[in-house]
Amino acid sequence: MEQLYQLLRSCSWFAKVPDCVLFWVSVAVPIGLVLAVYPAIFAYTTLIERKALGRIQNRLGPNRVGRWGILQPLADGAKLLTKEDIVPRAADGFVHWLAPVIAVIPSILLFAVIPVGSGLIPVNLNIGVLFVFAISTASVLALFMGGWASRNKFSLLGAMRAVAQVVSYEVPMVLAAVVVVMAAGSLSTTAIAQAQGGGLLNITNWFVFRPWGFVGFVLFVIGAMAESARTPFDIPEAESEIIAGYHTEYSGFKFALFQLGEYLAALAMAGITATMFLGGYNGPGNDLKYIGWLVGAFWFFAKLMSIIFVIIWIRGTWPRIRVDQLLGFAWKVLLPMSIVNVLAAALYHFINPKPLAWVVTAVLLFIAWLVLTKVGAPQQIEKRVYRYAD
Amino acid sequence: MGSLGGGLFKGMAVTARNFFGSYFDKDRLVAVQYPEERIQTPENSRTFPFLVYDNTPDAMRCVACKICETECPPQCIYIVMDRDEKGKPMQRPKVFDIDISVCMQCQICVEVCPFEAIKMDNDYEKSQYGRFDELIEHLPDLLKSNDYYNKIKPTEAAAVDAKLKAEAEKKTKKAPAPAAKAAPKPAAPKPAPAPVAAPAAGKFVIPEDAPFTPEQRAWLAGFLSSGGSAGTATPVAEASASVGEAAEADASATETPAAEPAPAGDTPWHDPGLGMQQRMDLAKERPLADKLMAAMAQTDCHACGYDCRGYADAIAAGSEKDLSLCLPGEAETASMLEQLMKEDGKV
Repeated sequence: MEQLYQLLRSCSWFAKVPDCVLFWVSVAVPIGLVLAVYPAIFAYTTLIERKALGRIQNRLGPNRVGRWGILQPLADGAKLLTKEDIVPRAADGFVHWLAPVIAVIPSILLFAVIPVGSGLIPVNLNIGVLFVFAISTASVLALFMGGWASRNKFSLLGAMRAVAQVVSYEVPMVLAAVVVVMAAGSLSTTAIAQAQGGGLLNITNWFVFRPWGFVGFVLFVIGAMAESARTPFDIPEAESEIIAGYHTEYSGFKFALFQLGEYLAALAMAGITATMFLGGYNGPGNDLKYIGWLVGAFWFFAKLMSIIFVIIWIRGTWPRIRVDQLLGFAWKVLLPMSIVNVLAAALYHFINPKPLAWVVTAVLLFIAWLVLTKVGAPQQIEKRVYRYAD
Repeated sequence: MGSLGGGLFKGMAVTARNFFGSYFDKDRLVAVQYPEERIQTPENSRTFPFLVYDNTPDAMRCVACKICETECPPQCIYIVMDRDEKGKPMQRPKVFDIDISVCMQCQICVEVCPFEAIKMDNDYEKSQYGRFDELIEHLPDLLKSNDYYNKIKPTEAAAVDAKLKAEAEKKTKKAPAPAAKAAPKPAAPKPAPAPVAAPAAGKFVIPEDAPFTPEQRAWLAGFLSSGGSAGTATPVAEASASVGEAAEADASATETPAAEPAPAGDTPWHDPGLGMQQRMDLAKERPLADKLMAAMAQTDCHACGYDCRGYADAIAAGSEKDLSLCLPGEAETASMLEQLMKEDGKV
């Protein structure tokens, strides 16, 4: 944004244009781009998800609206827009109306600090990572508002579960991100992305290729999936148990807004993951002259979509986990693991030479994982013996 | 590996194989694009019954004998026999309705049809926008050609065609015999056309080990000896009916005395449209054989192995003991026959 402003000011064509106009133009252009590009990706991600799930289940997926179902997102949008908007009689009208709005806003705000390419970032906040965690947690507010205002026991149950889940997974997720901040020495997402540049083909310096980085990556992806309530962590909406959880009582476009918020949060989290662990826009050829930014943007979106694809793939494979397993996993396995991971990152920083540090931290983390999965495993209940039934 | 989550990755591998395999391997993409693609239904699959016609829809095989209507467990068939302008039965249905919302696709109508006229279809696209009249199939909807039958069920249809052809050949050979037999019949109540249970009497011997119940055996014996189809019965029925028409006027005018046996051709009750009470009133002063005949359903369906006249004569002559063979007449006829026989002191 600032760069755009400087660019416009320095350009002789706009010399006659007042500064304030240039400023507002440089504000509006990134916002417009974010609002145009990411919802478009969202729309086609829904199509990709449905197609991929179909293929996983030996089906074709949507293919009726346009060739290969290419217009399916538009049809879905038109359908949801024209549907009746039902508000339960006993609902708290204002909160019920506000909840889907609150659900979307933080998800969109997250894109403000994601660098798409070198210098291509809407706002270069120097506390970018902190901003991400502060904003992404706000989505739980929307879930709880929606569940509470619906005055429906399933909605409230879903909302309660959502709160428990998001609060639990927030902690290991933040701790998983701490190692990246430690390594990059900055909270700025741009600085983190820059710290992963260089090396062979701009690849080898990605944090995911450090032992602590890999563990942090896995922990962060798990946390991000839980945060955005994706399978297998879709306990808040668990349609087979509590119908649709917090959005049971939502219909029409409010329901669509909830979906939009959830998907955008998943996209943003994938973008943050790509930035923090997978090197962001760094990749072969992103330091070329003139077209480097384009190559960087390509790598960024390729990484983002790969993460999204893995999330879809997981959704098509794993079953939903139970509430007690969900919380037990967060507190007994992920949290200790992320603390050990912080320790490993510190060790890595101080041990020289680096190959030795690599091996030491890898062994440390592997032992920690073995121990924690044993200790933190869910208690096995003895098989019950029946006196008469057998 | 269990605690390390190895099973999770095994699952991921399975779904990945499905995902990528679906682009190369037809077995991994089993979905059928229904309106454009259809799976060929197996030959023996069945949905609802239809009526077979030969060559033209006028040459339908159904003679409106109502056996299927009687036998249908959920009672989804409704038949009205067609008549010409004189009110004479034409041995074909005027109305033939099947309520497919009631039909349970049991195929019993096909099993009982002596004329191979009703068969099971395999057309499953029967959705309609209503639950009532829309789901009732009428005669024009039901009539389908024998070619269609051959198309949907080649094996079964070939067997049926072969059987009908064989019967037609027998009929042409046998044709003089029933005609001769039919002629003297009106003159006096002769013994039954063929003692049905005795194989020696008929020229067509049903093997002893053939899988038939005694009733079926009796019916088949009668059916074969009568020439193999309703065609031979038609002249008799028509003749008797037309004589009946003429005789009706003076019969009602001049109260024929009971002692004098009325001309056998004079059978005013031979009309499936009349009720049991009306028919019995018409035959009130007649000999036993006529009364028995009036108790029949008057469809000449040959389900008993005779036409209505022949069955009544056989009972009266004592050669036929079974009083429950009249399928279209149902229990009403059976109980009336029993009552008549009791009144006559024969049971």
